Amino acid sequence: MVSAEKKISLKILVADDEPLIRQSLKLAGESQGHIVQAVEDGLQALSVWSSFDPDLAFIDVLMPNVDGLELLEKIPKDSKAKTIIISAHDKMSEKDIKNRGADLFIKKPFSDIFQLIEQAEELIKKQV
Amino acid sequence: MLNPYYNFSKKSFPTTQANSEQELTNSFVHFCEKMGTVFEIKDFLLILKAQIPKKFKLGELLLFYKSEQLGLRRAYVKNSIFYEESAKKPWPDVQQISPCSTEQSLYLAEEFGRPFSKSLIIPLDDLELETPALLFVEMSQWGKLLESLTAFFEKRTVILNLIFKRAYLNTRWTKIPYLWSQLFTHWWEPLAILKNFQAIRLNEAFKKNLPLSPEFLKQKKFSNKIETGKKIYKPHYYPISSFNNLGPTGILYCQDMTKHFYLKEQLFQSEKISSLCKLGKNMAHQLNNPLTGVRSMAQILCQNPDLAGFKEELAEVEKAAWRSQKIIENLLSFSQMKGKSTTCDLNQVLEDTLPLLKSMTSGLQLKVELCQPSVKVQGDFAILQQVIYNLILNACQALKGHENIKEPCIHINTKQSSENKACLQIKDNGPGIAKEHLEKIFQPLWTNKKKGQGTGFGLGIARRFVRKTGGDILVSSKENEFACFTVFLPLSHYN
Repeated sequence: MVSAEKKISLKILVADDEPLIRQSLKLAGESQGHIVQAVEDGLQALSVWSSFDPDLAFIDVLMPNVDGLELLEKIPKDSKAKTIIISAHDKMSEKDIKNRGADLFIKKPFSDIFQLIEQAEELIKKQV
Repeated sequence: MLNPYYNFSKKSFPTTQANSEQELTNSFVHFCEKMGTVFEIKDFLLILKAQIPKKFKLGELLLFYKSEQLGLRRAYVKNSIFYEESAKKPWPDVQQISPCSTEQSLYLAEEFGRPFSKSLIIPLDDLELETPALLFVEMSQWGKLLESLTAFFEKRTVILNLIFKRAYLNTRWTKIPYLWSQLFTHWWEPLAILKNFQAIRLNEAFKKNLPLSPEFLKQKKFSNKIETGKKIYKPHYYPISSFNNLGPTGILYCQDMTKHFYLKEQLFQSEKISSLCKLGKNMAHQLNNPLTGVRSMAQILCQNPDLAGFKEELAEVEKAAWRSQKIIENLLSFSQMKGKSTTCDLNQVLEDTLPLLKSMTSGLQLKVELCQPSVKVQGDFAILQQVIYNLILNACQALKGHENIKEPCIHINTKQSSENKACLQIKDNGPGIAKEHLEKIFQPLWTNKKKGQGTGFGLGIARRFVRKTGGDILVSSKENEFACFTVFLPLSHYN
């Protein structure tokens, strides 16, 4: 899975209330050499955001306390993080999500967890 | 106008005259008997016409009378059909039976717009009405026949007046009760008059639709509904106060509620489906999240070298989660009736579906005959897969529920059935489907499977989807032999 050209190690924040998804993203990210911190909701994400200072964040929309969309608004202004929204919300379009400041929209259910990590890496590479 | 029978009539006339007195009496009695059955004006003319001997060679019978409600009336029989309409003008005053004068003929001509040459006028004045009624008997010839006809009517003046009086009064007074009775008889819903809990009169609809036992009528309270197999009635009992002590009297009216119950049932079903759809949609969203987690975790664990020994099992877990998601996806498409119609390879759909049923088809013989080359059909791949999945699952369940089937077998084949249709057939040698269930099996929520085995959704969904693409599902079966489902699908335009 680990390709030779991949050298960057990213700091990834995962905010999802579904433990298995959260854990999977953490394991998948770590298996690719990234540092992953996983939290249960938007509130927890905000509390660790500044100290962790992620390069990238996977954010679920439907979460208790502070949901994904609210979180997007509250991300510290000086954060360099790219944001990826993962949602099963069928009423929301990719355009909607991007207008709210997200960089990528991934529809749930997704079929391959490793592909998500790849997409995240692509996003960072583009920036570089 | 020359009458070709003139000579013949003239010759035969004396013979009639020679009739014995007895015969004359007989014919008079017969006349009275027949006229006695007259109930209304219409019968008066029709029966009278039939009672006048043919030898008189009569034209039309025309009756003028004044009705209290309708004013001046003229009634006549033409080609054995009775007509009644308003008279244009009052008719001339006539005192006794007499041949029509020129003036009177002119009146008739003006009324009917055609010439009247010879007629006999019979006044019917027994009612002492201001305007006495007149009967015109149109004749084709004068001469001796006129005398004879005059004699015929003179002899019957009393009875004619009497019968006309009765018809006139009946028409006037009994028309209303008569109409009521007709209304009762021909009312389309069952009606009965009950006296002391016995039917004393039933209308036609009652006799035809409600073969009720006397016991039924004796019950003091009628149940909420009466089901006869074909129809559903709601009985209403209306008591009528009786003036004697013969016991309670009343009218039993059975309201036809068949349509009402049917619509109610349909509404209930569609409400049930719509709430199930809502529930399903909600559940689908809720289930999708953990299933995505399960799938992702299985994918990750598959990569873990420490768990290499469980790789296959983990792959199964992942597949199971994927299949669950597919089911959910289909449930969602069902609740929204979405699904994209594209070109699908029919054999491919089948080949992709069969592995999903591996656990269900184990222990059964599976004979699959795929047409070569495969056919391309129009439809949504996932939905077609679900349809096929449902049908095969159904066959499996039918076979597994009956252990006495020696060689349980499912026969599946695909072929192009016509110029623009492909068909897929799934046939099992299970217990078959009872004739009375053949149409019901497609109804939503109908199932005869064991509790928990079927939701009653499968076949209904399957047909709904297939019909949406322009196809259809047909079923044929012989009890204890086979059940066969044939899915017709429209061929893709890009075949």
